[in-house]
Amino acid sequence: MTDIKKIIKLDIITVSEYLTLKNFIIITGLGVFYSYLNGNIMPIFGVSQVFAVIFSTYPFLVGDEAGIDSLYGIFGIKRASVVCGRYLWSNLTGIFYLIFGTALSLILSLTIGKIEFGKEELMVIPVWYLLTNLIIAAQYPFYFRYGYAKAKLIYTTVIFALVVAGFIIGYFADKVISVFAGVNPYIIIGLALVLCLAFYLASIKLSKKWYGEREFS
Amino acid sequence: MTDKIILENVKKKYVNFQLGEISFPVPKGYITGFIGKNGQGKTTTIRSILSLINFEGTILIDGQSNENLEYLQEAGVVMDESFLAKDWNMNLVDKAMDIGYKDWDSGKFKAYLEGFGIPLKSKVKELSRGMKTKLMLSIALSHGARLLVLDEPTSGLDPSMRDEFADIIQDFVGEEDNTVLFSTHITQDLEAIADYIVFIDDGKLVDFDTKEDFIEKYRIVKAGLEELKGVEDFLLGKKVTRVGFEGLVKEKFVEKISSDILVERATIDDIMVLYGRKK
Repeated sequence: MTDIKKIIKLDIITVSEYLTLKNFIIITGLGVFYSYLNGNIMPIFGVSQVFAVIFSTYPFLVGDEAGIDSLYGIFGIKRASVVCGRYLWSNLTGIFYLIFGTALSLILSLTIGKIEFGKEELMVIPVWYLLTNLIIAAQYPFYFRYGYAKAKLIYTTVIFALVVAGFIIGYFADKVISVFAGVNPYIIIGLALVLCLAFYLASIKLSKKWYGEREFS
Repeated sequence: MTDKIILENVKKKYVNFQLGEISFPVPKGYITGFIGKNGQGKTTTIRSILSLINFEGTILIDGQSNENLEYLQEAGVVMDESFLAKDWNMNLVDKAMDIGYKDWDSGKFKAYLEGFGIPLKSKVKELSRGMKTKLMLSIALSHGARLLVLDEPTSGLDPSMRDEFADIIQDFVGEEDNTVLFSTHITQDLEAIADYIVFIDDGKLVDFDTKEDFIEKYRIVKAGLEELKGVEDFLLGKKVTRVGFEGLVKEKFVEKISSDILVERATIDDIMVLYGRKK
């Protein structure tokens, strides 16, 4: 069994105790409630992807509480493999919640006429997937460096900085849009995807570096 | 004699403490007791051996650098912490170990749990400290380990379990080439079973020898306070009371000490307690 496969399996066992009926009811309840209020499926995906992001950090939580990182070390699993395995695990978590969100919105659109599920909604799914992975990529290096509790605190600061940056970009939105006026939209999408990929790979590289430097007590 | 583990100039710096540089071997096929007071670097050394922390110097396991982590598959580890998720029950522990260790023997693990009185349904968080140690020992002995690294394993155990623990360790090392590195400050455990002793103090290696030669190297001297000045130069450590003192000296200096001073053989405990003590 490769080390990466081991990590994914171990992470699944580690967080399996958190896959509770209570959590399932909360996701479903919140998703359905907001979707019904807004008359579209976006909140379902939003809620399920928020849970995907939260869930992807649980192995770090257990790591803090019980020293799971030391256990993986004692198994002789290379730290780079732990990092790659956890990124892959977070990806799988995102996909799991996307499937869950899609299934739930389909059921809702069929049972409650007010909510529509069509081609446009389907096209939004990859965007959610991308967004979830970008958020995870933004936070994982901090979790690998500092562990759950400290990283959560630091990451909150980063989120605040991103919100500020978002406001600034929003303020200059017209100018930014005008720069791309007349450019083939596929080129813009392609460029955005390349940037996302570069960000994701940089995140993995940074996580490997920081996790490699970390010491386990 | 070949060495299972060789530490060469191992050094680790912290803000308030520095380990080493220290160098010593852990002979293959024997039990090596690793002694020192709390906070002297035993756990840091063990974490270095297990590649859990970064350090300067070299650690070789069977002649290979410990950066090659494959040796860990053949290492059983019992430490102060269990490293297991608190919500795992014994079946989940079994599953996790089956994933982590290529030679995991589930049947053997469950037999150990039964022997130690740990129910399969019990969760890690429900176990006492002593039971967690038993659990970790069950894991350490259920994946074909050839090396046991034990860090203060007996501190949470009652005397009868400590005795049983010692028997298990002796059985383990009875098998050809199995090796044990056993760190503890409860030295009675080592008096009975250790073949070699590594003694560190203040992050420095004080001694490495066979247990018999190690004990033979030291003597306890006892006398009234008026005799203290005459032996002070030879003392490695002392405990002074209102009426007298007790000191640790090297055996080779005994003949230079006044015959009025009582000289006794030292135990491992005496050596550890008195070494470096100022008053």
